[in-house]
Amino acid sequence: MGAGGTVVRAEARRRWALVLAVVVLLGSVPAVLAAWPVRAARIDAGVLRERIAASAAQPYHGFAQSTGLLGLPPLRNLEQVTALVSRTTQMRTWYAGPDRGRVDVVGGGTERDLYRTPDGQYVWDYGANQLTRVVGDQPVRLPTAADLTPPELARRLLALAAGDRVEPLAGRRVAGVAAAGLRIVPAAPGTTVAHVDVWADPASGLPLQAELTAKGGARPVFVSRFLEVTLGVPDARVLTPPAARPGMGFTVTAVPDVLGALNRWQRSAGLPDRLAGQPRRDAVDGTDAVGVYGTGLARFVVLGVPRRFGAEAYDNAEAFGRSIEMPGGRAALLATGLLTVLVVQGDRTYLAAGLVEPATLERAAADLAGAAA
Amino acid sequence: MIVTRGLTKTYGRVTAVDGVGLDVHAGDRYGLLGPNGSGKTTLVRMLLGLVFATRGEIEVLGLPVPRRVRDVLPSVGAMVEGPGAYPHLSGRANLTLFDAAGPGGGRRDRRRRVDEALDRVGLAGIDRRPVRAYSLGMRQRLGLAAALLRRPRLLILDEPTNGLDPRGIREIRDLLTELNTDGTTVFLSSHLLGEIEALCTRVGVMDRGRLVLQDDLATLRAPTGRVLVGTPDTDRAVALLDGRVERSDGGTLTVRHPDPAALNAELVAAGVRVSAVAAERRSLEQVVLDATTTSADRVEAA
Amino acid sequence: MIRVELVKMFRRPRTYVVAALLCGLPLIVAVFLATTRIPPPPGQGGAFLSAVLSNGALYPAAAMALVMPVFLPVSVAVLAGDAVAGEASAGTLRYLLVRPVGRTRLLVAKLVALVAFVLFAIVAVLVTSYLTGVALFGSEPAAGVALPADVTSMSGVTITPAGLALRLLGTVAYIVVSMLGVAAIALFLSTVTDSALGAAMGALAVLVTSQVLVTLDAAAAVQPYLPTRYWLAWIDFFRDPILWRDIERGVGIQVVYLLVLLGAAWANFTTRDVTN
Repeated sequence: MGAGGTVVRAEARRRWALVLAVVVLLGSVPAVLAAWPVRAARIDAGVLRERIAASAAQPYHGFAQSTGLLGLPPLRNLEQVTALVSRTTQMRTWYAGPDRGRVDVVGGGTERDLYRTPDGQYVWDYGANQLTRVVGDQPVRLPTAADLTPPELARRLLALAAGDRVEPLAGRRVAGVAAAGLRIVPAAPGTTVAHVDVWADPASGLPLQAELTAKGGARPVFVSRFLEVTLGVPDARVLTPPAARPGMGFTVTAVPDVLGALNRWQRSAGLPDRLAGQPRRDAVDGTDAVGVYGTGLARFVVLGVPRRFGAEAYDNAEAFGRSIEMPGGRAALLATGLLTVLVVQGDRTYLAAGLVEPATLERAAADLAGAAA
Repeated sequence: MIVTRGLTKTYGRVTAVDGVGLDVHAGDRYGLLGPNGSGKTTLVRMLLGLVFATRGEIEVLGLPVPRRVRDVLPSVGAMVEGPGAYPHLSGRANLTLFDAAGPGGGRRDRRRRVDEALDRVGLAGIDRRPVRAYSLGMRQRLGLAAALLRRPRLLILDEPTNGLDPRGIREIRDLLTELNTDGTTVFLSSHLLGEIEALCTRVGVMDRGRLVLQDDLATLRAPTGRVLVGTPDTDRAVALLDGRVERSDGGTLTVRHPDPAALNAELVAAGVRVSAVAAERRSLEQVVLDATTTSADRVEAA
Repeated sequence: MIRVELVKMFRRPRTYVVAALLCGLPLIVAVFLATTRIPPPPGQGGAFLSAVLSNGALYPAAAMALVMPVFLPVSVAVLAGDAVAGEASAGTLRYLLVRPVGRTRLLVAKLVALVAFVLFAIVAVLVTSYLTGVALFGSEPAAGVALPADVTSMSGVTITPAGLALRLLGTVAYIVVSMLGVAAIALFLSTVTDSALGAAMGALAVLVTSQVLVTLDAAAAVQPYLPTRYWLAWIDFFRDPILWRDIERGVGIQVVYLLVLLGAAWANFTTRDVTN
């Protein structure tokens, strides 16, 4: 440049070559790191699966990222949930054990932290300047970011797919760890999941990456993986929730006894014993309001709610999904390729959701409409 | 002092400087004459290592340029294509900055050097006004002062008298002559013939990128072997000098003769009244016109 | 030469005009916030803006978040674009070079002067915004209970004044490093063209393109390599514990851009004809 054909042309060429060499060198660093061969420990897929299932005691801390391509519209009052499955979420996580841990969802200028302590959960929301202490157990609740860390997600999916076939996968490096992989191919018909891929630390069984691929899709539609991970007990100071202080909002909420309320209302007419040809199993002992149907990954959850709560859910689902006409009521179906959501409105309102094909929920809709009538 | 061999610079398809072989001796007051666009400025820039030649060699103060230009430049004072200064600073602040930027200038006597340089160019009394408020002549003097900061052995000046009034031009000319007497070689370029004729001892003429002429001014202006004679008695003179008169123009005769004194004696002896007698010298203008072909800024129809 | 460049920078009225503009934006925002007391909704608007209403001591951080995405890079791009091209069009470049000033030395001195400018501007913004914050919002929590002027981190944990000072120091350092990349881009372009405006526009075009790609999910593959990707990572200084991941990456990417573009500027400028 500039020196084409002058007495310093050789000099210029030498200098540009040097700059180019630096560019190539620096540019190739990520590529080389990515292509560096992984020597994963040889481990049987079945053994790995057992280790993953038993890894809940393994303490760790790290930085994880989940990316969902589900394209679920931002349903009113459920934005936090739909964002989890439709966008990229970055999480810092410290895990000391099943009842001690912390997950921070970090974004540009925002932070939402969830602390799990033996005496309850604490939620700190920086944007709202609000600290909330949650007392009691939550047997049924909406998914939170803490459920999407690779270990939690992988263990949950593996538990769901307990009887399904396991195939070994080639190892890969996740967050600097040579991880061993396994693939679960669900046997149950009717699920939208083609396969679940999990990579885990072969020694401790700690899942480092989990991927969900929908049927007919080439790329996974939901990925959760560690970008950085360290095995070991996190600093106790980090796990201590912030103390409430003036200038900061602080509330204590007991887990609302939603289930009890639903139960009382539901007692008159519980959920059907069979839906879409699947027998019902109770999700929570002693509760009629929530039912689980199907097996493995093809299971779906049905929840009966009073009509006034259901109206809004129905409007939402109808606005973004398609409505189904049927005798005795109406229904709206929202299909995302992986997750399918159904709202049936007759005399009562039922919500159903699961990683199942729309056809399954359509049949369930007809059954529910009959039950509702 | 300055030697170039086959120096050529092309910009794309335009050849700005074409095979120039400059030769400036120590102690010269060298004038590079040429119209605007003849490649003078490009040549000067190449001498200073600002522009890199396409071909050819340059030696300044005995060192190759651009390879050793950093050893050459501390002994060179230069002004290229108009003065340049930071407009929001005063003249003194400008000189202080330029002095501090280069090597070899101690901090302690910086003030003295700056004052000296300003004094030399006739700006000793400048105040704190920013350069923005200076006239072109003042800026020109400031640029010259910057070139003189390091008491250079060689001054390379591109159009140094631009924007100066006649008195200013005279002052600068005297200054350059004085510096030259003290041992500084002066190389200047100009498109003004009179200026070079008045100042320089050696002349180079550029025409469309080529150095068409380079010689001592004395040689160029050597007597032509003709004498100009002014006389009211033209007819008698022509008769007397029979055949030696080349031209008669009013009261002035152009006579082929080697010695004006002898000619005068001859005419007077014959009773011809002589009002003026002088050896004819070629004017520099004539030399330049002979050496160049056409005006550089003239655009001929194809 | 570095001293000369610093003198030139700080004797130039423009430097102070730009710094004043940078300080002015947070001031205007503070006045509006203080009179209306309407905080932006969480996650929108500038970072920390909702928090400053309860404690003005955090306003310097909010001010950084205000000037960082646009104002500061624009002013750095303008100044860096002017660095060489401006000297060329003012006619002073050739006089510096025949002084002689080595071309490489000139580039380095220009870069150092730019760093000095960024430091000066940031410190000016921090000081004025701290004063603004304390004056308009007060350093006592709004509840009115007398407490030390501690600041709540994004993680809800209190930051002591010493901790806040350290984190602000880290912020300043990180922003200076972030601006190095901008300066290197504009400085390189400044050696390519003799038009200061052209160089500044070119650098801004690069930054705007980068900013657009950062928000585009489809460009996820190239995002880690974009110069503006980690610009706001200094916010992570205000989490507890400090989240170093993006900060480290941000510093790394800026160093790479600096190396490559300064190298390109050097290769171009040292072998280029100076015809202006």
